[in-house]
Amino acid sequence: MKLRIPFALTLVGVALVVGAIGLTLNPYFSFVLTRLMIYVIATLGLNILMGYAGQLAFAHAAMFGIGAYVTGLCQVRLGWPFAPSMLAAVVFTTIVGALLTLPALRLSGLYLALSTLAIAQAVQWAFLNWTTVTYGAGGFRVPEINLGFGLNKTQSVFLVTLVVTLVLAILADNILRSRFGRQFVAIRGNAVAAASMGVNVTQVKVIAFSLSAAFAAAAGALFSALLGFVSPESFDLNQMVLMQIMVVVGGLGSLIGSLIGPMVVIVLLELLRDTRGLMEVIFGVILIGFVLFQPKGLAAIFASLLKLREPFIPRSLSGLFKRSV
Amino acid sequence: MLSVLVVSGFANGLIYALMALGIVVLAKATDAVNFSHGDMAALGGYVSYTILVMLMLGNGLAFAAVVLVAIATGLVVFAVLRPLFKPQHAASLLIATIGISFLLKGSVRAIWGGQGDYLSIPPLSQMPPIILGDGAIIIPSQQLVVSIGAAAILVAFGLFFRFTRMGLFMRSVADNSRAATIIGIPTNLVLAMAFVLSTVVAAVSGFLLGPSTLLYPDIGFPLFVKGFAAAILGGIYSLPGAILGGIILGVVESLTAGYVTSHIRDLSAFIVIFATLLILPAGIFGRRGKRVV
Repeated sequence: MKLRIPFALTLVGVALVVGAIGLTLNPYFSFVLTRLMIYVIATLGLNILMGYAGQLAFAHAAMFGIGAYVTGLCQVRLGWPFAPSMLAAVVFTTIVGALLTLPALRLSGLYLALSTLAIAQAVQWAFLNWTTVTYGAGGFRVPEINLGFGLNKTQSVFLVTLVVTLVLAILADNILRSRFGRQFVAIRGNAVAAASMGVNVTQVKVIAFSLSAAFAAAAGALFSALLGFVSPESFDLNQMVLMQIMVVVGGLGSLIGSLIGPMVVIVLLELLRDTRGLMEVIFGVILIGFVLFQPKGLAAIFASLLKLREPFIPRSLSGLFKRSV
Repeated sequence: MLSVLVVSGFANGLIYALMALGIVVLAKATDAVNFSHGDMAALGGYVSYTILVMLMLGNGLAFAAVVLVAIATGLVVFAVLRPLFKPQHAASLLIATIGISFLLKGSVRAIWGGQGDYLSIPPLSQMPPIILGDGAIIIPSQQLVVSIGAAAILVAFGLFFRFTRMGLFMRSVADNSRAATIIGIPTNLVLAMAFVLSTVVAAVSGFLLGPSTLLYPDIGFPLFVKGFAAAILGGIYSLPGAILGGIILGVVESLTAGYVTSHIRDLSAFIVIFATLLILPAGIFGRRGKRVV
């Protein structure tokens, strides 16, 4: 995995600029920007799984939730500080994500999608009903991050999120350009052909699910710190659909898409905050519109203009299903 | 205790069976699953609420209105989704139906949201309940109506798929749409009819079920998940399987809620989906085919 120096430096430069701007914004905009970066991390993870490895899985919001819950619970019940809690969350969720591979080995296409959906709903059920551990429907408060240096809590979480996003973006770029990335693409195209070429399909699927779960967990941990509160309704089906919209609108499998998609969705969420019915209608129309007319997402426009190479190139959902059962 | 649990489980099971029927009808004809199925049922419920409660008109008119709205909506949605009914676009179709689900849910919330959070509809039948076995089994007449409705749909569609030309066309389009087109079957028309039929079944399910439960805009998707669990359990291409799957799911849910803990209720559907897909993927009545690569 060779580090692509110019790209990494570009990202660091962008991060510095964003950081400088972000520190001067009022707390609300800082909050929105942090939320955006959290969604970027989550979308990167979902893109690795869906866009690259071609596994249609609807459990991402649940992984996001598990990350948030574990971080919060480690802090609240075990008294750990934030960093080890986040680490524990990432490790735990990665293991859960790896376990998700079990159905993925036997099922594909529609049935995989629906069984991961069932798992996600089961996780949501646990958040709501396992009250002895998860505090149930009311949720619970978590302590906020405070970095000191005269920064307030909003700025602290903003900076931490910025650093994590930067690191994970560079990591994603490296992974996708490496041998793993090529193996992901191989099993997306045709798992049997990949297997006959020597790709260990099982191992690659495990890596894909684990990696996407890790990204989701990191995003979830930061999300809990941002809100200062963890509750089940943040991780339900609506959240999953929002993540799907981010991926589809951005461009499936494209790193730039992972940035564009969340930006579009966050802007729309902010504009439409008060009218929930209308917001759902508009999101539905956008999802349908993009699937029908721009299946490669907005990143496709950039990809052709700037003549980008992998892993920036978006692809569409077509061909993602293999017939099974 | 046991008989009460079984009877109420059977009642819920019929709800799931109705949803499963609509899902199976679509799957049999187009090999696709429609995530917005539950929201279509919710729409049926809301239309019947409008006729029965807001306009205070009769059951027959409500039924007619529900069917008409379902046909219109089904046609529009099909026209939008038509390009995605090809096998290579199956993933896109799934995601697009999620979009439709959101769209329908949002529209329902926008149109009827102002009425209040939970809406109730008067029962379809005012007859007294049927009491069997000296009070051991009590069947409310609403439940009887739902059972008869479900049975009628089952029989009608069973006959339709087996004995009519259109039913035969639907089965052949589902099997291989290219070949069907080549031999002259009007594929577009067949797919449209299949989709509209599934939508009508969903809306009628909503009409039948509306009085049994309180309506709220988000009721669609959970209903769909339960219906889908039932359909998978019975075999996604089998109509009698849908009914059987629904009843089994309802009874299992009721028994676990009664004997284990009531919290488990919602979890049972997910466990059923998962267990079925892993252990018996073709369902109870499913065709056991080779795994296609």
